[in-house]
Amino acid sequence: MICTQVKELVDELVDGQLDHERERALRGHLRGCADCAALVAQTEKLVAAAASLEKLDPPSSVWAGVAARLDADDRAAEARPGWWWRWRASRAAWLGFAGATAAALAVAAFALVPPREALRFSVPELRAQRWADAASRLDQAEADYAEALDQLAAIVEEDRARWTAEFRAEFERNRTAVDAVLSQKRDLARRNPDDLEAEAALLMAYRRKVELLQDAALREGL
Amino acid sequence: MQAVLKAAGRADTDGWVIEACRRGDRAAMETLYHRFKRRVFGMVARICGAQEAEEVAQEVFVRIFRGLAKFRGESALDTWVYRLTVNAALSHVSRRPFRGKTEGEDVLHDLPAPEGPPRDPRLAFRLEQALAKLPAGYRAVIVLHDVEGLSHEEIAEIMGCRVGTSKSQLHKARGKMRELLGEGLT
Repeated sequence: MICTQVKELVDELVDGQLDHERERALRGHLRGCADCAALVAQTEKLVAAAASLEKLDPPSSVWAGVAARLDADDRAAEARPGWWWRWRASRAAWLGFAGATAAALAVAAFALVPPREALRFSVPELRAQRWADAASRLDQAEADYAEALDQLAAIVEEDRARWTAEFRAEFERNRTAVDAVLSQKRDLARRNPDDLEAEAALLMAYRRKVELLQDAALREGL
Repeated sequence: MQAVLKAAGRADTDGWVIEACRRGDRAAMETLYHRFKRRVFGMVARICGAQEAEEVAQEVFVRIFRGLAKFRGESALDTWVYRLTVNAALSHVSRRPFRGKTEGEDVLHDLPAPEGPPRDPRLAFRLEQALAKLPAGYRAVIVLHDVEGLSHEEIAEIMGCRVGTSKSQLHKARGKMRELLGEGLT
């Protein structure tokens, strides 16, 4: 065995993880190499000293602080209105329903809007009428999404106080990004209700926002 | 066999305490706190520094009690608590501005310590000082392996890394410690 091998195996030797053969070879090397013997001795001393470091007792103020925060949680829970608890009980089901509704809206929008080819060959009056119909459907879809988002946002707002500062900052960054995309897609879709790609992109942006709020609302306790 | 029975007994106790904590039983929470307080506080103090240990330890225990509702027992309770502790401590260290050395390293020895086996107080002091100068990731692996006595498999589970990564981190951390302690180890 050579010195570089000993340097690689020193931790396994000190931790008692070396098999018999390699340990014998390594100890044989140590008998003739003062540098490696010193390395092993230092590591043994280091590990023994670390293992015997004091087990630190926290001051009593740690439990007092934890208990105070738990009390504050309890008080906040008691202050919550009855509807909140009813919501809480059906939270997962409701969140699933909101997601399903959003998905259904997206599917319905695709299914109901006439294909682009049909619009391209319509007479101007018919085309104008279909534009108006498409705009109306877009209004309805946006109103449905807005209602679902408002309710989700109210739930999220309830939970914000319990989030960590880190998660709150991350959520705000994501919400700002999602809102910016939503605003951009809405402008594009409104400029031309006949543009199916723009409409699909808008509905997708709404879906993203629903998912963001669902994820945040389901992040309980941490 | 005894170890198996002990582990089974611990699992039963864990189940009872966890259920009681989930119901908001304050006595059960305090029981759980006392069971983990030294390990949590010791790790946090050594990773974040003594002055910030109280604040971070409080945060860890609040996360434990709030998170128990979601604890499904896929890992042992001890492993889960260690994971929350290491994550909170490393996250705290990563958020604070660089100060060159860990605050509180000089007061770590002022903290109360229970009676233990005889040890060399001067070496322990130098060791704490050297530990405070390590990068946070090295500190975490030394504390978990050499101070807390966890295996590389347990550390890998706690830190979400491979066993080989834990071994190589420990190897580098010990090398750095030897370098920092120098003559102090001879």
